[in-house]
Amino acid sequence: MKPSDYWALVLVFALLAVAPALAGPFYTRLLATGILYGTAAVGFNVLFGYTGLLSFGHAMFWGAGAYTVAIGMVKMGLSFPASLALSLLVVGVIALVTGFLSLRHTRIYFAMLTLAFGQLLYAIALKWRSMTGADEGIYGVPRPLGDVVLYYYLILGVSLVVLLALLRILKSPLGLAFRSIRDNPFRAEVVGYPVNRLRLLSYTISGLATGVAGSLYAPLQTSVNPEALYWTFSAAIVFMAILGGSRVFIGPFIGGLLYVFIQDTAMGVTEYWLLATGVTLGALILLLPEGIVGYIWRRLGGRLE
Amino acid sequence: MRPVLVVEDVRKYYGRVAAVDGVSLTIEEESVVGLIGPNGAGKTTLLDIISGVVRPDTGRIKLVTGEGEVDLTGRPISYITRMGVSRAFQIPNVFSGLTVLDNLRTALIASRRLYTRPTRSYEALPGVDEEAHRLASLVGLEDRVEVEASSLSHGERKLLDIAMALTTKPRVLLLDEPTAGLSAVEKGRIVELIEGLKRRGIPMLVVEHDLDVVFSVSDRVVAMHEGKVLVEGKPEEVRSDPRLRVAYFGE
Ligand SMILES: Nc1ncnc2c1ncn2[C@@H]1O[C@H](COP(=O)(O)OP(=O)(O)O)[C@@H](O)[C@H]1O
Ligand SMILES: [Mg+2]
Repeated sequence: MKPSDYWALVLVFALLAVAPALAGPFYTRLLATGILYGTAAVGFNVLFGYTGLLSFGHAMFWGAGAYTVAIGMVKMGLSFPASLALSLLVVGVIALVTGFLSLRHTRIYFAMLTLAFGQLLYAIALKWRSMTGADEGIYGVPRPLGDVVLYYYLILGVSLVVLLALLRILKSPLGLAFRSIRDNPFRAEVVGYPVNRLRLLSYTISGLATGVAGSLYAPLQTSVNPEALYWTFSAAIVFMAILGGSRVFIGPFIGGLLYVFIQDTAMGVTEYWLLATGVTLGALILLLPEGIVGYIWRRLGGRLE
Repeated sequence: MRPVLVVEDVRKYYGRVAAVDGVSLTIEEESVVGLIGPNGAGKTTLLDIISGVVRPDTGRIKLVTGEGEVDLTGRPISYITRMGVSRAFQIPNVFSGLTVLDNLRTALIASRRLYTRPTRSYEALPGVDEEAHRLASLVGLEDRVEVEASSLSHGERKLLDIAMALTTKPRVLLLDEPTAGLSAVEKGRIVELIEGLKRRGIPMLVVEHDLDVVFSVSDRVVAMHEGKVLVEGKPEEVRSDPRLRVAYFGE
């Protein structure tokens, strides 16, 4: 039997559902972070792997989601669901505006523009003390359901819904349109696709998914700080997608999970953990260009998209 | 005969090279116009201008539909395609990372504007797969539908490119050297295809190097040279025109 995107998703989530029974609170929290990183990376990959556009600013969606929920709950006294809804609105608007402006270009200029917008948001978070707490960030974000393990299941549930929605979109005609644009944007225009509008749609869907993950991150940490918006996190998201594999739906999700554990381990043994992740990425691209999941997938007879 | 596509005095300069230098031509209902001329005459550039790939420096492109005239000059490529002006390329241009079937599906989805349909799977769109398979067999690729386009031969890619141009139910079809680089069998299939489309009344502008093909399928032939129309008329008139030999072989 060839591997299927749906079954891979079900399998991974079934394992994640039993994980807290085996892991202690520390690892449960780490896994929760990994699930959110993974969901953010799958969101990123809608744009990167499926539409062929490399964003170097996805921390902007993650961070905007995290900050909006923190501000909503701490400063505005909103409930968690209301803060999440507000956060989707904010992320959506940011995506439409920055997407409209960045998508005048593709390739490296697009990547640089998204990087610039990401850094702009970072600068705003650093300067707007009354709203964002500047470099200290916002503390005391209440965690819905209180307990880490319960919140873990909320994260798991919301992430599953987000991933199923993305998978459904990618299997629909829109997904084929995205892949066609990735493959040959000129031909896509000639067969009749409004390429620019579809790229903006992909960018917005991608940003929203990453934004939802970021929104759930602030209550997990019970705080948010400008690092959530810093460009190194944008780079980390790119890393996760490539680590897992950008041509398999579940690839970046596994990449996000692995990233959290690589980071945790490397941080424990060396202060040069950034160097360590850099070396890992370099070695990986040379040895397994299709990523870890991509490699396994192909070995099992699956088709890379 | 009623005109379907009107090209009015278009010009396109690349630096100081006049690729197309004041060309006017009309494609009428149910008619095939053959476009010939030596390499560099400006034939591909003219197709680029009509299909919106290249913006002309001057001149206009008009499409005549049942509801009136539509000015296509300077409109986006995708708009021109969706208006029914379809084009296949001299150098085959397909989605090389997709299978033959997905190439045809995506072209159908684009031209029928099905891309925002919230269907569970793009493979399950009503009517699309039947049409994709029909087009694949029309060009003789029915046994190759599951093959990724990057593994097709040059000739097969060319056939796929032409099949993709047919997904729009074109009002006008522009073919750029459809038989170039094809085997004798493939060539025969394409000539048959063009004749079949002609019987169905699809107006065509066919750029072609094989003069036997052009003179047999065309109702009218236009010969270009150095960006200008050199001779124009019925196939037999153009064929015997001495200016043609001068253009192709020099004095
Ligand atoms: N993108 C371009 N840039 C510069 N010159 C071009 C370009 N496209 C075509 N030309 C020039 O325009 C002339 C016409 O080319 P083309 O339309 O391809 O001719 P044909 O299809 O009749 O062989 C040639 O001299 C060619 O070199
Ligand atoms: Mg040419």
